[in-house]
Amino acid sequence: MSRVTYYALRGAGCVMLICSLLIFASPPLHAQGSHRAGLVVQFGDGTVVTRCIGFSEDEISGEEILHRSGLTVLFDYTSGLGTRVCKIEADGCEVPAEDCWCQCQGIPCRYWTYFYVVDGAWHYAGLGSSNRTVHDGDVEGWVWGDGRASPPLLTPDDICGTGAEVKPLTPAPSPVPPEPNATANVVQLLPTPPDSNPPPDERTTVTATGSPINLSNYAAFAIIVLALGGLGLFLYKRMA
Amino acid sequence: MFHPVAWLLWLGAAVLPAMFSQNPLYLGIVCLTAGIVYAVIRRRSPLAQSWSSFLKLGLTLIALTAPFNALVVHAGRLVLFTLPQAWPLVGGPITVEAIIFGASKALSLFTLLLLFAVFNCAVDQSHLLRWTPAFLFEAGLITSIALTFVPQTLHSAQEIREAQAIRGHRFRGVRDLLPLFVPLLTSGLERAMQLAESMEARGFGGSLQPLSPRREALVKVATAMALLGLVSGFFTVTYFQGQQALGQVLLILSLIALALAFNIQSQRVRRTRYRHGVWQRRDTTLAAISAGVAVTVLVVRACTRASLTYYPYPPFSPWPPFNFLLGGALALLVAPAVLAGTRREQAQQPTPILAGEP
Repeated sequence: MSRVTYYALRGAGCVMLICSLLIFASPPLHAQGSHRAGLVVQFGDGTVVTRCIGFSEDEISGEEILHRSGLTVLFDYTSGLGTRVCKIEADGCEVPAEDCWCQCQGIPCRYWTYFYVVDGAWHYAGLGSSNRTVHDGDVEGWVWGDGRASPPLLTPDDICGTGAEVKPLTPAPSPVPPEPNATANVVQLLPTPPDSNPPPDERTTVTATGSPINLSNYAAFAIIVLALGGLGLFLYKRMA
Repeated sequence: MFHPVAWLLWLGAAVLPAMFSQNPLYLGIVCLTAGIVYAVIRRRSPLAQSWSSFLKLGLTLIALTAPFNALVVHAGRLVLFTLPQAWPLVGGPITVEAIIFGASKALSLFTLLLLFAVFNCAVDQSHLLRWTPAFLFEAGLITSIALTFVPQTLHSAQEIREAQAIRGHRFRGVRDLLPLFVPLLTSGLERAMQLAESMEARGFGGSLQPLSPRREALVKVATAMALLGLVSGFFTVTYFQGQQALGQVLLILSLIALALAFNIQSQRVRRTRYRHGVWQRRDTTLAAISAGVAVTVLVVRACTRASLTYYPYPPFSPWPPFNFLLGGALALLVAPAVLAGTRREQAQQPTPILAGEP
């Protein structure tokens, strides 16, 4: 057996081993009916919005919860280490014109802080939303603040209503739960829920560039490149 | 060809868009101008070999960064395929946007590499060292020794290798390198001794104007205090937004103190020049164009930061924005190639460093 074949076989063996490990390590992916998770968002002026998010997967990421909530959220994907939440509705920073943490450049510091409920108490999230997995019955919290204030403590039943049917993939209109003890400071910020879950590719918001493709701009770019190329050729000929 | 300071200005102007922008269109224009400048000045430079290694390194960067970004960032509308969610970190949709963004991030690094490769070809390091400020004379000396040390070492390594090969020694593994290293080490030590002796013989350090001990201590304390003030001033300005004014006063005061200390240090060094650099008219033109481009980029960044940045992820368009005027301004960076003249002209013109020979 030649050396090249040996190394090729060895490499293929490694790849197969890794693949099989990944396949066996991954949990079975069958949907177990509809799950639900609660979302509590507290804005800078103290108003709180709750959403009940239904999902058919076993687990989804915290980022996906925000995507499906129907709230207008701006994410920063540029770091490569995870997703940052820059703006929810009106509070936050306008990426990419501003830094994602534009109001946290020193003291005072305000950004979208991330919490989740563990054993009936809020915990400041050590990981970003894209790295957190949300399971059935979890409650996620977002607060525009410095990380010390946690959102009002609500159970999934408070948010989704007891025994209420959960529509999968639909941003529940979050009727303000009728329980008086929990809803003292829960205000419905958006009276009309957004029209039935826009899929991500149809979500239209303000674009920085106006129309998606501005052909005249690209024609200008092509002219500049062609002119430079011609100049380069001329100069090269002159040198020779 | 051009004065080293004019080249430095050109480099400074060209580096700005690569640092501030990830927009592939602007970066592409800068890369193209760098390529043209290289093609024109290439024949004159002995350092031109470094160009291809810079190019290879940059292309490797792009080939690594784009797939990596696509694997870890799962955002965007144009989904190519989806990896299983259960796979840690890489699971999720693989999107065109993530590939484009990774590639354009790498392109900005590639542009920087390219610009420095052109600068390396254009300017001899020893000419550049003449422009180190006088208060840094020791650092300049050390740099110049280091710059000559590396090629000398490589040269003697080649010589030893050839000599050993003639004796029948073959270099196959790590263990065979011992007969190369031992003579290399001894010859390096020998050269260092020679250098020290020749520096001693030329009276190194003797040309320094002596300071009184009190004054020397004062300069040292002032430098240390000013640097400390500079750091704490930056910290105050960036971290405590309430004490902006205090931080700025601290910054200005420490900058003045630092300038004074450096000035006193510089006065100690007397420099004589055997050859003088010549600043020609085209150096002025190049400097003016470079300054214009730099100011344009800085003004655009200060006014509308969004027009320089590139963010392909939703809700924004994956098509990069492009401003004709800014693109045209960046295309002016081709100036060194245009101003360099024909080859015959260049051959007739003396290089600036040799020109002022008395």
